[in-house]
Amino acid sequence: MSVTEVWNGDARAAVIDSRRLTTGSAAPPRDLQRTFQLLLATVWLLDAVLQLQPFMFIRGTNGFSGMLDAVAAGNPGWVAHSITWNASNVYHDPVLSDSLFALVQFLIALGIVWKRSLKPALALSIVWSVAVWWFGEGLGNILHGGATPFGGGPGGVLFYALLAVLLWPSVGSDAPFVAARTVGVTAAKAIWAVVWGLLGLLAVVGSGRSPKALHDLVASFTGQPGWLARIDRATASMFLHHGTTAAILLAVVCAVVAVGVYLPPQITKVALVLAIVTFIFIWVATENLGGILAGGATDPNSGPLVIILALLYWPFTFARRAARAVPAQSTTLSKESLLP
Amino acid sequence: MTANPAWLYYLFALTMLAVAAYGLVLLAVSVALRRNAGWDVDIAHVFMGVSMAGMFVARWAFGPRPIWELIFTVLLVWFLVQSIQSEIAFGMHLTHYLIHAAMSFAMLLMYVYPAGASSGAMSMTSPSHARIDPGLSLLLAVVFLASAIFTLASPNKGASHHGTHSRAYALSRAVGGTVEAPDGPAPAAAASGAVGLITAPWLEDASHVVMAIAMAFMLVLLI
Repeated sequence: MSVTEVWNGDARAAVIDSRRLTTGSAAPPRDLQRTFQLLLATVWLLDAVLQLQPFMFIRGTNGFSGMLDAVAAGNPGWVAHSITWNASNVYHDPVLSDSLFALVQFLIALGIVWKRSLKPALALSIVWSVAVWWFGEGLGNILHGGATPFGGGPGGVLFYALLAVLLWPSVGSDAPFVAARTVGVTAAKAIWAVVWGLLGLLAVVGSGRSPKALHDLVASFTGQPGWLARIDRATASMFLHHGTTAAILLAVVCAVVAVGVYLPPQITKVALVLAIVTFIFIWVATENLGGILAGGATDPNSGPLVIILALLYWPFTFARRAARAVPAQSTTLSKESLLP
Repeated sequence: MTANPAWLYYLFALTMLAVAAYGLVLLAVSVALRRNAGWDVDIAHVFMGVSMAGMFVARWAFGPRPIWELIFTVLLVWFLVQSIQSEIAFGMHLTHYLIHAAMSFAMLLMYVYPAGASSGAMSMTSPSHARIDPGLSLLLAVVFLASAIFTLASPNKGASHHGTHSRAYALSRAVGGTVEAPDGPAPAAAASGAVGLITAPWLEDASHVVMAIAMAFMLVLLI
């Protein structure tokens, strides 16, 4: 079969055997909202698989119930009681409860994939995220001042709920950015500003600006692979000597990122890159990839979700340019159609 | 001995055997129907399914490790060569051969660095203390899970086995166009009844999805 390949603006198209195939249909631009929904589904699927780790089925302090019980510490009595009540239920039947938890996450992931079950799956993911935030993350340590973004504050799982809201399916274009497609530009920008304003605030309140607390946050990680342990030692040392400065710097970065979406597109892109780079650093150096590599985590923490959130605000324009550039009188397989 | 809960590992092992059996049947049908696309993926799934069943349930493991290492090395090289050929033929793109190469690579790693699997898959314990880097395990696991999700959502059903360059799939995408009959029979369109079901693109994708999720789980156990 003869193949001719052409470049059309940003979209590479392969014209397949034009002597045999002729049609007037052109490949549509990629639905970016759908792509991000599938990325969210991938994270949920990872969570489901992590939920099946052997230690999650064990009763006691080294098991899932022990993990849940530990997050009650420091919270007000009524919150702590609700968390320990849930942990005791898991303690009584860890296999059944953990299996159910994994099943819910599988259902959310696979539900997002099928368009018919997309909305129920996203709704379930919001409800489940809030429940996990309460019972599994102890409200992200917000109530006792330990919710620094360096440690995943105000709770990585909240970003699942936020992404589900912003990615709620709707018809329309991805312009000016994907997050605006469902809630509108004004609301999307307001959500962004509130989220980053909150992150900035949490960076400097409570133990968030304490060098000792920040040092202990990183130094407490054990069982990490060598390369990550080396990063941990460097980060812990940096926090011990410049913890307050690091917290203030993070707050300033969050403030800049928060207002970035209200500025011209080129500056917005710079702010988004700053947000992404910051959370890549946080995810690796202070969240330790959610602790997954030490074999004791149920999710990747906030890092990848905040990065996905930032990408939702990226002013993508190539899809529209590609749509204009694709010629109408040839059968084409667009770049996305070439994916496996 | 299998890790707790045993039923989970038996479930994964049985599923892997089912994928292997399906791959074998698909291979036989491909030979009978002279389908010339996807047979390499079927062969890979047969070996991966049987091999991983033995990783999940120790008693079901068989064959010397060097043989398995050789098999997955050959598969890795094959899929890499196919990937390169595809890149040369169609330019830079994400060919489906790459995910099969990655899966073959992951299988090879599981045999070369088996010690870390002792917490979950009992059959892979060995005196060696060498471990696969957990970061690499996580990376591969995420890639496989993403492959599972995007395969399920893909409008190009069967692309996980045949890619989107296969003539049959290229033709099937030309909706509303004037299409001449290809030289050979289209994989799914030419079959009907039981054979049609066996060669159904969605079933081919399902086997890839199940394999990808099971392999991701095994890689998480390796961490």
